[in-house]
Amino acid sequence: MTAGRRVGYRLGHACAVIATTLILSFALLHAAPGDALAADTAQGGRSPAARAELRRQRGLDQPFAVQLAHYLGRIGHGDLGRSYTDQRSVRVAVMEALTRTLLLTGTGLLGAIACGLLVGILQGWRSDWWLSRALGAALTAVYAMPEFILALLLLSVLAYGTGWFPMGGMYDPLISVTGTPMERLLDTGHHLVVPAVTLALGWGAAVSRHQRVALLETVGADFMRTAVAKGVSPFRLLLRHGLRPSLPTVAAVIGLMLPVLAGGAVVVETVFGWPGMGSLLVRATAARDVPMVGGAMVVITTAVTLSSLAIDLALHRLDPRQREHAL
Amino acid sequence: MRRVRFLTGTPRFVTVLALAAAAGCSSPEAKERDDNRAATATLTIVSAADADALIPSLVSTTQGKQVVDQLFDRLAEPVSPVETVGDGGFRPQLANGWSWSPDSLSIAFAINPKARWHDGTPVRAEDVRFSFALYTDPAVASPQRDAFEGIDSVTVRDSLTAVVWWHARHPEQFFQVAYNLLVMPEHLLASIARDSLGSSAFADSPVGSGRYRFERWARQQALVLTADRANYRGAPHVQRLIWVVAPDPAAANLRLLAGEADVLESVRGDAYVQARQSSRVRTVEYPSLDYGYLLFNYDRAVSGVPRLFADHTLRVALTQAIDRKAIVANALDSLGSVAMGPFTHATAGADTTLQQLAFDTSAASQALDARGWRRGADGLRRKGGRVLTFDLLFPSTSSTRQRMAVLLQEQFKRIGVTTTITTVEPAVFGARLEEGTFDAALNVWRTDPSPSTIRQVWGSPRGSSSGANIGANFSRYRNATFDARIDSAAREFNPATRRALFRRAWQTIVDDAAAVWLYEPRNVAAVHRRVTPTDLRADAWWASLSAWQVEPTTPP
Repeated sequence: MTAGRRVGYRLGHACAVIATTLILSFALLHAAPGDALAADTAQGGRSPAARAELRRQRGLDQPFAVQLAHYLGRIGHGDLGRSYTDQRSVRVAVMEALTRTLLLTGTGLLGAIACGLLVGILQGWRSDWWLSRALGAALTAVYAMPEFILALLLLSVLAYGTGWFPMGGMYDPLISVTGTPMERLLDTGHHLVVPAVTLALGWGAAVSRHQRVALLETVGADFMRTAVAKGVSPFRLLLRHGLRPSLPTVAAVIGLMLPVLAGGAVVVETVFGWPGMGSLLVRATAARDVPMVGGAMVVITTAVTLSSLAIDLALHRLDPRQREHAL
Repeated sequence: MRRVRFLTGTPRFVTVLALAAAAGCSSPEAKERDDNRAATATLTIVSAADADALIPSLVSTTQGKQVVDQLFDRLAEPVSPVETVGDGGFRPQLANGWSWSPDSLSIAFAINPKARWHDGTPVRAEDVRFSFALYTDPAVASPQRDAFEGIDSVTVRDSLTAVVWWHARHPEQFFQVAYNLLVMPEHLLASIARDSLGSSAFADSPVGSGRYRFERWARQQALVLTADRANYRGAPHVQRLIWVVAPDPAAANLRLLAGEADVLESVRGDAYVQARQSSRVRTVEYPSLDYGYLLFNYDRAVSGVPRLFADHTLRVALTQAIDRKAIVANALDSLGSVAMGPFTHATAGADTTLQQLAFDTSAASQALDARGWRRGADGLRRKGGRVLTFDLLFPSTSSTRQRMAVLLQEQFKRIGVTTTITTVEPAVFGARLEEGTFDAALNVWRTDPSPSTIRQVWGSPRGSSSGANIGANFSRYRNATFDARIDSAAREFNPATRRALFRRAWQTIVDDAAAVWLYEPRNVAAVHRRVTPTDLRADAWWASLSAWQVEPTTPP
């Protein structure tokens, strides 16, 4: 089988996964108690007649099979529908949230890779240095810390304690209406720092640990001793002979983080009031907002399956041993 | 406020960014804009959730109401405290006058000729007629639709006179229309299909006639309104109102304490303590129309006994078994008081002298013994081999009710009644209350300023079968005497007699132990010290936002 056909096969597989996920999520939401109109019932909300009318308008009074057929038919035609809770176009809402999430998680991931690789290399290469040990201990503490604790800690220290950064949100509302485009851009960057650092520290700790272990294994290998004996400079030894064999391991770890890029980081988004995919999905699920959940699932499942494919391709490229196996 | 510090100050480690910003601000226009900012009084409200809609007939959340009340006008504005009988408790808003028909079956409202929509179009009587049609059209499925029950129609006498007609006269006619009807622009909404209002362009960018005009709404982030400087009622004090969404309570409180927000409408627990200790923030108390209660499901078979809670003696015993004062002190500390009944201290005509069922565990035990529920060697009460046990349901989002459920469980245990505790998410809680699939539940009800609306929650369901329309009477409580007394009170025009009749009705339901009236929360808001709130009404603390005084933000 050629590489192109293999990729085509994997894409077909991805479509099946997306369809299955959609059907399962629809069925689970349908089976769950309560519906989109029940959340405010305890405090009054709409009258039973008004609730019945809305259920009729949304087709919720139809049998399950009919609802599912309409739902899949709509999505098949590229129409993600409108949210039950705020009547917005699901496509617009999901794309907005996805953009914000990618900005946050993408920045966090880049920070994690940079910080994790640097610390991991330092720990693997100079494992007896006091700084390596100190950084290792600090990152272990971060790794062990629940994400919401780390988020609240950084919020308290970097934002509340010093006053250097905003306490949350994606931008200052006042600047959003009165600022120049440059001010708005800088403002968003300013708001991005603390949540992105939170993600970068958490993920960076994982990357550094795997990088350290992979590098330590490489450092003790025979070919490294041979290279030293041949007089290869330490810098070249690290880059050319030490780092490259350890990259597939780290790439696999980073690959595991890729789904979060699209799915959002629920805890960090909630604590920092970052309106991304994670918080959108949690809100929509709690409100039984089936169209919104469906739209988000399409995007997240697509991202997960495609990122899985991308990481397999990357590993295929990085590790010659992988080329013996089919994708 | 601190955000200005980012614009004009220079935190050291963002110097590069600040320099770039300064480069963007160097033009004369930018300088003028900065000066305007500095002189602008902006009020930022931090909120746990975003508004659900900005079309008044579609709004169902408190956040949505806070916004539409600034964007749209009523025919007349209630003054605090809200008086629901007659028109004495109202002052002109969109209508600058009104006249009653001789038979009191209609009121003619004279629209202020100076009133304009924010797009410049004059407000006309036709807009009032159209708005009433929007609220009451079944296709709109408005949450407020039931509030207009009894109103026959709205007609237009001339372009500036709208006439509201009732089927029958009652004391709250004026309140019913003036309080509930926000007037919307016909010329912008008439062409939109009634079942598609929520997805229209108007829903994203509403045009009202209020003292604030819509400026920007970034969903789940922030919503900005700007003062309508040319408004027929005059320009408001605060130039800009901003709602920012902070779903995490701890983060919301930190935003207030850090000076990024000016108002947090409710503080509890640690947030209250921190606000009290802060030099930047102060707490402001305002009246509450909420009460928390333990409701029983009258139609459910519990402990193997059909309609167990329909037994009056049993309900009285369960009420007497609870030390409500201790529970409220434990769960709410000083931020709550024991509820008096299905009303609060802020309810019009509230009577604090109603006789309550006292905490008396020995009387409770004797009553249960008399009903055949006797304690065994294991301390549990049984009748015919069945243990007296029931389940307590509450929503997972309420930490107060979670604490109360545990305390109630402990207190019921002392008299040999076992309870289990079930927590569910709000959508499931609402569905189970509606379906009647619960034994007992802890709920909070926000009452209407009108005491007559108690019928929605405690009036007997219409119809006697299991398919009866229960409204919000999740208990399925039925008491013909109470119904009759509430009806008498609601029909009474004389204020003194009306108060006495409501008192009699409330005493009836308290004596009947229809539910265990647990607590009435104290509403405490935290506001920045540069803000001076005015007229925090129990039903709508935000009603007078346009009159609040806010010191303008100044650069450091």
